[in-house]
Amino acid sequence: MDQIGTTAIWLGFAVSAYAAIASLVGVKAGIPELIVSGRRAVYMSLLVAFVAAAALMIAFLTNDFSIKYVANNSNLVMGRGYTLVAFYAANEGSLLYITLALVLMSSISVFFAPRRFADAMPYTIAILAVVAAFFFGTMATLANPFETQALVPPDGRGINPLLLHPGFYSHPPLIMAGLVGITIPFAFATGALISGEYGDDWVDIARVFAIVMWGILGVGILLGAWWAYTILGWGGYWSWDPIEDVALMPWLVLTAFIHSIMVQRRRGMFRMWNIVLIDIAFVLAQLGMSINRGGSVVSVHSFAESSLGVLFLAFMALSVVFAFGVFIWRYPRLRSERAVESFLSREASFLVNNFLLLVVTAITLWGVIYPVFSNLARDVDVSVAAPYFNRVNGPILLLLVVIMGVGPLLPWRRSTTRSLRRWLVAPAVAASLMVIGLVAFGVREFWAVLGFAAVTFAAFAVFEEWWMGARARVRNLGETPISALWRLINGNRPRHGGYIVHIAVLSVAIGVIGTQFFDQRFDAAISQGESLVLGKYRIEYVDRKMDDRPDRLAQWALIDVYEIDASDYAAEFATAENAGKAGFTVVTDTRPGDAFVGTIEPSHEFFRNFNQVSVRSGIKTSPVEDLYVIPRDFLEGERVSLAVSINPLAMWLWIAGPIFILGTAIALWPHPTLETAARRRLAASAPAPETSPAISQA
Amino acid sequence: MTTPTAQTQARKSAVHLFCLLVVAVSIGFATSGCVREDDLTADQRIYTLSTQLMCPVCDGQTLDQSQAQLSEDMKAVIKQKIEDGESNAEIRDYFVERYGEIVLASPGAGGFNLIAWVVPVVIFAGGALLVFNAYLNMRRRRTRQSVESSDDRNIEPMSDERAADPDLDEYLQRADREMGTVLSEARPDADRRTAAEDKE
Repeated sequence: MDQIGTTAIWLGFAVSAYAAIASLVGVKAGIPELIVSGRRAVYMSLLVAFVAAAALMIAFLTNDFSIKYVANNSNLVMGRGYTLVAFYAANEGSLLYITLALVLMSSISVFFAPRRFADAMPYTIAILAVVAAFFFGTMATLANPFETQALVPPDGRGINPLLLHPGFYSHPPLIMAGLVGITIPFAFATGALISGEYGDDWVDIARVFAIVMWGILGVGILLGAWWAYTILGWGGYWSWDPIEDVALMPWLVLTAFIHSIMVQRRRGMFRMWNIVLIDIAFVLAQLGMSINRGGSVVSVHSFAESSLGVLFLAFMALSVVFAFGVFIWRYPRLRSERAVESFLSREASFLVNNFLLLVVTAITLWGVIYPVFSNLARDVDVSVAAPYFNRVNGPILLLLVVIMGVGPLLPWRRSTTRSLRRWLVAPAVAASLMVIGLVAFGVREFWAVLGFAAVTFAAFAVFEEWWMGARARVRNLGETPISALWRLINGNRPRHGGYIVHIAVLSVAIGVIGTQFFDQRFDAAISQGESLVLGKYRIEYVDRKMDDRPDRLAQWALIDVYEIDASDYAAEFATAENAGKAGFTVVTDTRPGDAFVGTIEPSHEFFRNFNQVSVRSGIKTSPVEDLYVIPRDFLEGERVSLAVSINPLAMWLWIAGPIFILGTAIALWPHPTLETAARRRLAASAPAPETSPAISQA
Repeated sequence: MTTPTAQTQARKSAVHLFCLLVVAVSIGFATSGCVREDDLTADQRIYTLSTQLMCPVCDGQTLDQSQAQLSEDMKAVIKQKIEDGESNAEIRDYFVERYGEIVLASPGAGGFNLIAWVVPVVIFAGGALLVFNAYLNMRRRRTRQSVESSDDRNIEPMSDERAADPDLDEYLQRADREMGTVLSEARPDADRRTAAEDKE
């Protein structure tokens, strides 16, 4: 197996290098056959990457511990279902996975590239192939997943226990694929630029792939948050860890890109700017992959750590020089045809959106590199973690939510204050009502009130669009409200898909505000027969279960959850408050107001091979709040040390996921080409003439 | 269609709104995250501090995130010190003395670390200026374009008066550059030729 794998990787390097050279020589010397050959070499690199991946897979399935990577990342007791996870669990395998993802997406994009893009295609292929060659070459020389060892151990070391979670099937592969996939819109944009096709031909295909990568990355980030929340026992979902940041930054820049590319598509503006954005996204993706390889920053995600970080950093530096070199070389030709006409226009709101997204990106980047900077400048190590980022990025993110509400209300080109005012009424009234309601209910946190108001504003801006649009169709076309809304969304999918994504982002914002400003926390150790009370919950430690396996010691706490009537516990609450505590513990006795809600089984596993603890939290979730229980440790005398928290509105973070995917899918759903649309219309007009009078009335 | 005055008014109010937002965010930077210790219970203070201090032996985790024994010990120290009546700042200083600045989850707002806090503000303000400038440039260009398109012939006589007015001079130079691009775009052949030259 190892020989097949190693050969495939070298072959991949050779084929990718050939694809780049053949394409460039072909276009320079004007040999069409060579260009075709270069294109086919891309498909060939996909084939060899598949062979290498299959070889590694078989090595895992057959427990071939003569291969170092297999021995280090699996063992005989590992469930076969986790082979996929073990595949990318460490440095070498994840490189192979990234390479496979890259050449797969390259092949798809090359295959589906439109004919009119043919002039620029050789350059695009060359860029894609150079990146692929870099990955193949790195694996072949420095990080070969098929490296063998002379001394074959009887059993492997096993997989990193933190990775044993269903979330791990999807979170890391999505992030890695999303990051490397940014190469594709970059290659199309830059290919077009080099070839001298200054038109907007690259825009459509770059937009599609940018949205795909943006969607993949977004889902990957959200799944990572979900995974951290449910398994890592942090109680949190996002900690502004450097590795999180380097995935977030390209996503933010891509967010800016997919907005501003619409301006180029619709109005032929922002041409230079869009190239700059995709260049930045590409470079930040390289930075992300470099930091993922470890080295320069301290992170909790050190699973793939290696000395390759520097090599990736060098490749990133080359990318910067190349991307911006091409940009500066072509800069004079990139003039827009039109200019922004008014500050009150959709174009201008996209400009502000881009500005805010880039500011968040730049500040986040600054936070990531500041420790390195401090170390170099004065030899003092510092940490930059969540408190810093929340403080500097929080207000800007809030502003982004506001802009998210204003943008959709503005038409293209220009607006008047009067029409804007008319559109602003409903969202503004809703936001004001939200503020009044919150204050009336005793919410005093300034930023939280402001945040909810902004979310309400932005949500109503979207609802208003749908309401007015659907109502117009109902009135003028006599459609039913449901079909009117459906046709409205279907009529401009990029736009309304985008609005649905807005709703998803607002859902995340609700979850963030709730958990950031209103969480309650109480840590205590209780023994069996005791209960812990926090908020409106009493949790009773019923029993402990244990499973002693060769690789780990797993323990569960069986915990019954009750909702209580606070008046039953008035005395205890008063004592706790005096002691400055959020909750308290009592000897269990069921009081009249107690209502049984359910049982949770938070678990605590100790992995001997890794000397590592993996915790799974017990969560009782509802749209209002999560009761969140982490078993910190099982103590002597059948006591368990618990960290209990109430995380308000946390569920909305995860509700956002499906909405986000739906919106992205709608925005991406291909429009029929002009010919098919015309054919369809022709076919539809003959048998169904009753629709035409309705339309003519409109 | 909108009247010019309504347009100007709209633009003005938008600019005002934008400036207002910039100011609001700057104030936000200054005030967000302010903690009034007196309003917090001891438990809340322990929690707050444990989100502000890093676990020294874990990679990139704060005390409240980490499962390490050391973080538990540190939290016990925090608890003790709160009971002794020390302020959050004093407790943080104590840990900085023992473990160095790296124990703080966000750099302090004094001395060298001031840079960490000033740069974001500079980024925001600088970015806002750039955007605003870009917008003004585009507006200026648009006004000029509408002048040009209203009468294409008036470009020739205007260039004769180049020396007369420095402002006009700059304007005309830019117009010439603009025309150059327009012309080269209009002649795709010439364009491709220069592209080929560039490659060589």
